Amino acid sequence: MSVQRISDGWLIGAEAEEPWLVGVLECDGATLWWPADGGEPGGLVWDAPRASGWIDAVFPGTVRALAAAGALSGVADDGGGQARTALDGPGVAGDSDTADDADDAGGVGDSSTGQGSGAADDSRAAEHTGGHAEPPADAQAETNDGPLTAPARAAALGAWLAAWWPASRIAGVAALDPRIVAAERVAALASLDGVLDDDGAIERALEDCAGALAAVGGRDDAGAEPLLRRVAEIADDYGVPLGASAVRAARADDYALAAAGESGDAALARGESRVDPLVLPAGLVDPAAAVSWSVALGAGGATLAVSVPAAPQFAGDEAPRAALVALIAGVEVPLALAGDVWAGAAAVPATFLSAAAGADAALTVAGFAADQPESVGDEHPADILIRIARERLARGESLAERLAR
Amino acid sequence: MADAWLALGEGVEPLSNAAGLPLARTTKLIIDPLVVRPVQNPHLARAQLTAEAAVELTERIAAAGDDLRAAAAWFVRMKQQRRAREITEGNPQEKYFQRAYELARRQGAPDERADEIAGEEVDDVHSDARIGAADLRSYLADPGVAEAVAGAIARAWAAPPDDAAAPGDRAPDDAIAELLDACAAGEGRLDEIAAAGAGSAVGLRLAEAGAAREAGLSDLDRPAQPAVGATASKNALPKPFDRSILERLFVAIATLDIVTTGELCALVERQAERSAQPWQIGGEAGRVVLAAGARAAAMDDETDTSRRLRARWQREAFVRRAQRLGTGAADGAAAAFVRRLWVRLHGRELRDQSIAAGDVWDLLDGAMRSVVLDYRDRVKTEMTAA
Repeated sequence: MSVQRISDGWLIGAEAEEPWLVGVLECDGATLWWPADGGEPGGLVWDAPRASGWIDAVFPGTVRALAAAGALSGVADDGGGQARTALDGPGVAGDSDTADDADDAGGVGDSSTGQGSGAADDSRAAEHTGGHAEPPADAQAETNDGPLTAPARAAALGAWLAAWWPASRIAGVAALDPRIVAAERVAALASLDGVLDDDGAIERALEDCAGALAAVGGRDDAGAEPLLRRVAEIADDYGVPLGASAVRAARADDYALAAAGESGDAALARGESRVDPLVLPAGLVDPAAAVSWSVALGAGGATLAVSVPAAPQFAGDEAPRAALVALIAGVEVPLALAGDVWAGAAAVPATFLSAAAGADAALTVAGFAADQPESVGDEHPADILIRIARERLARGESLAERLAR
Repeated sequence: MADAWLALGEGVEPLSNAAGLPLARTTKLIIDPLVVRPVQNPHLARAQLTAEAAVELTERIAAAGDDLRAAAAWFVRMKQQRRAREITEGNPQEKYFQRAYELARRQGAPDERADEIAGEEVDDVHSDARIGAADLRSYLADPGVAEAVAGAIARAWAAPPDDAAAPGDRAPDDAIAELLDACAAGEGRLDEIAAAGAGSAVGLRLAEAGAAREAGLSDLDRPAQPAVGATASKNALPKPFDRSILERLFVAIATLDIVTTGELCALVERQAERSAQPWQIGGEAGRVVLAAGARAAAMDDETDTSRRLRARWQREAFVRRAQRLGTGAADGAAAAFVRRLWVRLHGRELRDQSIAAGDVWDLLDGAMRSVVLDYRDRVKTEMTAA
């Protein structure tokens, strides 16, 4: 692992991509990420002494590299000038105070220099790590895996699957079995006990798993059985009742095409815009779909009707609830889920027609603050997610993905 | 510590994770309090050990090797007995780890009577003999008791605060700031700062109009004497300083191993006294940590700790986005953090856990982590509240 001093700690490995393209694992003293597309992992070590207890088990050789870079000496040696954080990719919310980082880039390190002479601290760090404090340039990453590399990666990418998997009828991406996604996360996190930032992370994951089992029912096919038995043991070990033991055969969701938007003949105006999955919670809307709207004149005046295909759910799973609202030329239209479609209508004044010409239709959910547009290249974010999902299905890294092929 | 643990070799697997490193609760419930003992050995609790301290820590863990292996074996036996009794309540690690270690110290490795002994231990852990919230409520509901407790509260509040620092004296603030710059390294002169009464000095300022409210500890302009209390609900707890004696004790009491009415009476009396003291906390070290937390809650540029707490919220924006939870603001986080810290310090005091310099950063960071996770849960709930 390469190590680089940054304002809020030590960057190891690859810089974080957009947050929606990585699986994140919060560990004791370090936040680690693995790109969903299989790229190189990385992390922000924010408390090097804490992280040094376990990080070699995930990324072998990192403790030595951290020590060589001075991360374990209490002395800042970054030579100054680096004024960014590891996580200030364009997707991160720009709190007003993050802008102040430029002023305290050296400060975090400086503040701890008063604890003793740098030379003494350096020698301690060297002794602590067996005298291997090499110059940073030589502290190259070792590429071999440690005993916790696989579970850490699985836990991180499992979080990505739960959050960003672009299940789509239109693009033909099947919904993942939420029980298997949750169960694989439980198993991975249980291997990481003692390494995680949140001591209750395993219990939380077990509760998610219990929730998925309660919603969808049990599953007893041979493919999932060893995993679910392991999760039952873990539940026992942590005293979290898994509840639902109901056994029910799972059936893959069918791919019936969603009903398209209403195509009233009397439409005075119509339009459609692609769904932006980045501004919506998981599992609501088909990411490959478009939001369609039309204005029709009726007895009571002009009505704006909006519809958008819903995301497919795993067979038997309930669609998540949310206050989904479409916004077109300043008019908010609350949408309700009816079958496979979110739809709604609102009365609009006659002046709406001129305002709506060429207008985009955006979707929002109250409480989901996606407060700034994320920077994306030419490829639509939904297309990026779907491309990654197809590649991931082909690789079949997790059981959840293999079962969805 | 990780290296020393790995050096123990076989026999501690039930206390270890997939890489053979100690489980979170192995560290929290066994290694720290029973083997390393940071209060007695502050030099072993620093984030970065001197070479000598590292050797000492390694020797300590190695010396406890037999006890740890025996504790691991006892833990497995206790889990078997738990299963045999079809007990599902509570986290077995949380409930049995310390018992297993005590058994190991007392009995050595499990022998032919082990199942019987482990069974008795499990029964004891889950027995109803211990005084719980309902017992506390009915105890305080007795008119004679309620009157006596109210009297104790009134006497405690009538006593003048001991040696308050002169108003305008910045020395306590400087000492607190110094601690906030040192604590993340497991260092700082906590004992000296506590001996000088810096936590009390800062805490006494909360008597000024609006100060406790601003700190997030009360809804009142000036904190008032607590009531004895007749009802309490986990979901409707007032701010810490506005809680009745019952509300201050009823959550923690089940974990306190209180068996006799005499012990219960003493617990309630101490709580009455504590309510009149600075920060409404009995120990000076706890008051220092609260004063430090209240200062660091600003998450400004002034101290190392306040920058680190702010950095956690900056990471949180990224993590939340990666979890598709929206971003969301941290409004009210400072006050929520001080409240969480108060609850944790109060809980430690009830359990007679002392605080070492090496604990300060973990306490502050842990309280903020907990607030961050609460906010995350709240965002999840808001998102799905259609």
